[in-house]
Parts: sequence; C-alpha cells; structure tokens
Amino acid sequence: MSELPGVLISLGIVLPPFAIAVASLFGKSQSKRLGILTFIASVFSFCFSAVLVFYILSQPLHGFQFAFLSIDALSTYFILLVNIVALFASYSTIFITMQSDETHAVKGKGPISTQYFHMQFNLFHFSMLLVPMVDNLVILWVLITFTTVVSAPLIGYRRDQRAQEAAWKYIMISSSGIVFALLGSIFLVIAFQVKGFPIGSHIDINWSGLTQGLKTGQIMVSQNRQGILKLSFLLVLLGYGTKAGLFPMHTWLPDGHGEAPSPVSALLSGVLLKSALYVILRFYVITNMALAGPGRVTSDPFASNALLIFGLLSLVMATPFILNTKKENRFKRVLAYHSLEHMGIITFGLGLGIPLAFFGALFHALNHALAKALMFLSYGNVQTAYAKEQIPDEKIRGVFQTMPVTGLLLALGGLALVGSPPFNIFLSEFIILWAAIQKAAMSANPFWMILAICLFLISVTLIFAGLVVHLGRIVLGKSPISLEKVREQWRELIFLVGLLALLFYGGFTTFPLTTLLQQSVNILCQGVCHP
Amino acid sequence: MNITDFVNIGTNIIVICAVLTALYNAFIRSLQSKINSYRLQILALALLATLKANDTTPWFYGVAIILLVQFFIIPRLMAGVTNIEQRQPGQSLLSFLRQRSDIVKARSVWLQFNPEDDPGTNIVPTSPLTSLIFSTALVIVAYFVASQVAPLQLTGKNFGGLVASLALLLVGLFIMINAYDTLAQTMGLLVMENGLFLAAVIVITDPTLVLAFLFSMFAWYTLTLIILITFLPRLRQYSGSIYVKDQKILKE
Repeated sequence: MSELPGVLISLGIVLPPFAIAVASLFGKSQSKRLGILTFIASVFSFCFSAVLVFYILSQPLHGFQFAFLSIDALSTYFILLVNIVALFASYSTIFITMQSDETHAVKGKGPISTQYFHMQFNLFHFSMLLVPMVDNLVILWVLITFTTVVSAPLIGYRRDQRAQEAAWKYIMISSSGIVFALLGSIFLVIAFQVKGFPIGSHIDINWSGLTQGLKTGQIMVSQNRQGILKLSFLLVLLGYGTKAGLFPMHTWLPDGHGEAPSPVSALLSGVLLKSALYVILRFYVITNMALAGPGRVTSDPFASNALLIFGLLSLVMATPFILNTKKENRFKRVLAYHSLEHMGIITFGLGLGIPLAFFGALFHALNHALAKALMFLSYGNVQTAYAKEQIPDEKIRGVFQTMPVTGLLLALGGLALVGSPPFNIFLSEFIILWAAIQKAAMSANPFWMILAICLFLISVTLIFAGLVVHLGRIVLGKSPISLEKVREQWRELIFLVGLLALLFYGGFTTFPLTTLLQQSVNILCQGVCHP
Repeated sequence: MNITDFVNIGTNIIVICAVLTALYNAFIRSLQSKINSYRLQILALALLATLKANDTTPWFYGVAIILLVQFFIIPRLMAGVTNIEQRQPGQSLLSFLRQRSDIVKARSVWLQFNPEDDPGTNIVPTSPLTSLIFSTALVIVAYFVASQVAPLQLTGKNFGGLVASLALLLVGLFIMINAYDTLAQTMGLLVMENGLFLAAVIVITDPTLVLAFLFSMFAWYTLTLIILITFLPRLRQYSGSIYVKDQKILKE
C-alpha cells in the first residue's frame, strides 16, 4: 500500500489535537497542565505537517488519496499554515487560561471552564486541519459547519453580554451564509454530466474526482448548463465567503475577533478565514476547468472576475473602518477590519488568474496569518495587564512605557501588517501588485485593471496611515498605570519574538516554501493559465 | 390521469404551499403563528420527500423521517429557550427537561413577546404589509434568477421547485433581518434551511448524493440544536431579553 506513509503522517497531524480535546474532558481542571498539553499537541501536529511537506514533494504526483482523504501540495500548504498559527496560539493558551482562573478566584464569576475551553480549542484546531485533507465536497461543507459549532463557544468564552452577543452574531451570520454554500455545491454537481449517463447522475462529489474527470473529458458541462455552473460558483463564494470574511458578509468579523480571547482571535483571523478560502479555491479550480473544457484554458474569466471584484470591494470597504480614528475604537476590532483588508488582497490576487498572482496570494495568506497572530497575541498580553488595573480597552495608553518589549512587538507587528519593508507582507503585496501590473499590460483593454490597481494602492496607503494612528494612540503617551505594577514575563514573550523573526525572514525570501508554493500554483492554474 | 401526473400535481401543490407558508412567516408577527407556519412547511417538505422516495430512491424516506422529527421537536426547543427555570437541587433531569420544554407555559410568554400585545416593546422595523410586499418581491426575484440560470434544462416540476427553493432562501434571509426577537431570527434561519432541503429534494436523483445530503442534514441539525439549546438561552440569560434591539451592546 503506497499511501501508507502519507496516511500515517496525516494521522500524526490530526490525532494530537483530537486526543487532547478528549483528554481535556476527563483530565483534572488544572489550566496550566491543560495549556501545556494543548501546546504539546500543536508541536507534534506541526512536526508531522513539516514531514508531510517533504513527503508530498517527494511523491511523483505531489499528492496521495486514501478513503475520504485527498492531499496534494495545496492541501499541504494550508495544513502547514493552520499548524504554524496553532503552534503560537496554543502556547499562549497556557497563560490565558491561568489568568482566567485568577479572575475566577477573585470575582467568583469567570469564563466557561478551562476544560471546555481546551476541548473546544483543540477541536477547533482539529477541524481546521481536516478541512484541507478531505476530498468529498459535502464532508467539506460539514467540516466548515463544524468549525462554526466549535468556535462559537470560544468567542463566547467570557461570561458577559458582549461576548455572548458576539458569539450569537457569529453563529447566525455564518449559518445563514453556509446554507448558500451547500446549495452552490448541489448546483455544481447537477451542472455536470458524465459521458454516457444522464445529467446529474453518476457524478463524483469529490474534488479530486471532478478535477480528474474534467481533465480527461469524462465529465463535462454542456453549453446550456454553464449558467447553473456560474450560479453555483457565486453561491459558493457567497457562502464560504461569509466564513472567509469577505465583503459584504464580513459583519461578524469585528465582533467575533474583538470579543474572543486572544489565542482564539489569532486562530479565527489567521486560520479560519483561510480554511474557508481553501474551499473556495477548490471550487474555483473546478469552475475554471469546467468552463474551459479538457486540456484547454478558459476564455470565460467568470470565476476570476468574481474573486477580483469581491477582493477589491473587501479591501476598499475595510479602509473607512480602519481610518475611523475619532471614535475610541477597540483595537481588536481594528485588527478585525485588517482581516477584511487582507482577505480582500488575497482574493484580489487570486482573481488576477495568473501564476505570479497565485504565488503572491498564497504567500500573503501565510504572511497575514503570522502577522495577525503576533498582533492578537501581543495585544492580548497588554489587555490582560491593563485589565488587572481595571483599565478598559478604550483607555489603553503608553504601552511602550509600561511594557517596552510588548510595545515594540506591537509596533513592529503593526508595521508588518500594513506592508512596510522589510517584513513579509511587503514582499507578498509587492508580488500581487506586480502581477496586477503584468495583467494590465497583457490586457487588450487595461482601463478596468488600471482602475483596480489605483484603488488597491490608495486603499493600502490610507490603511497604513489609519493603523499608524491607532498604534500611536496605544503604544505612545502616558500610561494610566504605574510602571511597578506590570512585569513582562520572558516566557510569555519568547515565542512572540520568534514570530516577529519569522515576519522579518519572510520579507526576504519564500524559502523553504518555494517549491510547495510553486506546486500549489500549478494546481490553481488548471483551466485558467497557459502551460 | 396516471400516477406520474398525480405526483407532478402533488409536487406543485406542495411547492406552492412551502412558498405560501414562508410568506406568511415573513409578515405575521406572532411567534406562535410563525412556529405553526414553519411546522406546516416542514410537513409539506416531508410529504414531498415521501413522493420523491416513491419516484426515485428509498433514501428519501430518511429525509422525510428527519423532517418529521423536526416537526415534533422544534416547538419544544423554542419553549426551552422561553422557559428560563434553572434545575432545582434534587430535581431529576427528566423532570427538569419536561419543565423547560413545556409548550403550554411558553405559549403565554410568546404572546407576551408579540409586540402587538405588548406596546411597550413594539420595535418592529417594518409593518406586516410592507413585509408581505417585500417578501413577495423576493419570490419574483427568485423566479427571475431561476429563469436566467435554468431556462431549458429543467422540467416544469423542477423549475417550480428551483424557484421555490430560491424564494425560501431569500424570504428566510429577510425574516432573519426583519426579526424583532432572536427566536424569530432563528425561525428565518430554519426557513432558509427548508429552502436548501427543497432544492436538494427537487434536483437530486443520484442515490449517492442523497446519502451525502442526509449526512449534511445531520450536521445542520447539530448546528440548529446547539443554537436552540446553548446559545439562545445563554444570550437570554446575559442580556435578560430575547429582543434583537437588546442585543446591540457591541454597537455602542
């Protein structure tokens, strides 16, 4: 059985978080111990995902299939992305749940139990790892629904009205969006016809089977069914776009990210949005291949244009929210609007439909996840320190003064987030922009593309200014708490410094991910790029 | 008239019934009436699944059974959100669950939650007539969308089903947006869910797809159960209200 090593590696990736999720329920309620176990599970899972990268790249077809699993380079890239962020976020859970226990001891009214928190955190991690592994489009939908089920209680972790309201909004908006996604999947299947069978029957509902069938010409879409195919892609984009935080379905982002504990916000922003994006990408490839026909490149850029428009709208619409500096906006909400911005940039890049843009967009997905993890986790430390002195979020000032290292991390992380050199986001944004210019140069009628590039540049510049103002408000000025009351702990900071180093390193090179990224680009290119 | 004609006529009647119940749900204010119309819709869909099972694959009986289960448990779950008693020391779990899911007791509160009976909380954003006009317009939009994407390939029965399923999705979304309380909001979500089921029942013929669809139905019900058993009671506990207007602390 040639798939055995791949299957064992995959089990090594998904089993640790699942095992700790189950163990959390039966273990004793010691938050530190559970936090350490969660972290160890993430380390194991991360190590196995690194092994998976080497395994996949060593395979002749850069992928393998077994039962309901189908893993290729694109899946591996997203698995790695999930695990890198989960590694840092899980380390942070050691401290966050300990602090919650202290609050509980003082006030007698704390958040949901530590055991449940760790169970749900690990299940959330587990479900997001499964998403890129699964082949069946319906199981994929079920898994995305499952991520909502396990992440909503994490958003409502704190026992107060704000957190419950955020969880409620998240679950309602995500659930209504996800209905459209399943409808889109059903329409996709009924649009296809297998050679020699009636329309809608004997259709493989696995993405690998569909792409293979479309490649060989075994599965096709007749001219008069292309309308259903296009509608299905729009419904899928609308449905999974809700989870991916794309405009206009992004409204859960500020509430969800803002009210969740910081490690959960890091996972939501860094990973959950990308998991939904991964599913959109699978449908994107299928739609392009179906519109093109076997072995051809599509002349109908419907799916690419849809991504381009949604991406650009998300980027542009994020701008006024981030620029809103008059109102004393909670910083985590501002960070949530940055998720809208960056998901817009990624989707815009994917919508360009050329290999360089795919490369930039995929790299940007990882860069955004890392930068956002640093910002949420650093700000989480600040929030905790100030909350001990009864300082509300809106009144946080002078972080440089009270917590110099964390302040520096926040400031540098912020610069990375807005795309300053020499950080990773600058590199990936530059690649996407360069690809957009190439696309405009190739186009017979470049007006719309030039307009899009202008909007992109204006939005990114304004957002840069907006975040600098927000950050200045928080890190500079006079701190409302005395210096002696806050002591930064090296064990809380060491991982964040490592994260910053990754952001810095990513500003210069894509190594060691270059080959994996190139293989992923080849997958996305099917039906849309010339070989 | 042969059996196929009979099935076709039956399907069309059921589809129309599903749309009418959605429209009724969109404009009626009373929560009790919303629940009743939703149950009627569920019953219609279960009947449709049974007809489809006769026509195609017996797996559709599974779909019908799941829908019938929902027909019976939805009012009890809604009652569970409305009755807010906590479990007393020494009270058995069964007795507690019976107390929480007491529909008769919840009904009096649902009446109280009806803004027409409670002028102090009359915060309905649109009048019933406006809601009816708007939701009817959405049905027309659904017709145009369906006719654009599937002009020739669907038979009359399937085309009507497609229109109805899109209409249910849009009207359900409208009910959610227009709801004055969180229970009615959930009702909108459930109507959307029915739109999805209708689409699946109408267009799916392949047995493998029916199985996959059954699987997704279970996932969806898990989500619905979690909303009704966990989130709504918790939201009510912390905000002290089921009104949407009282769930806007994050906007302040």
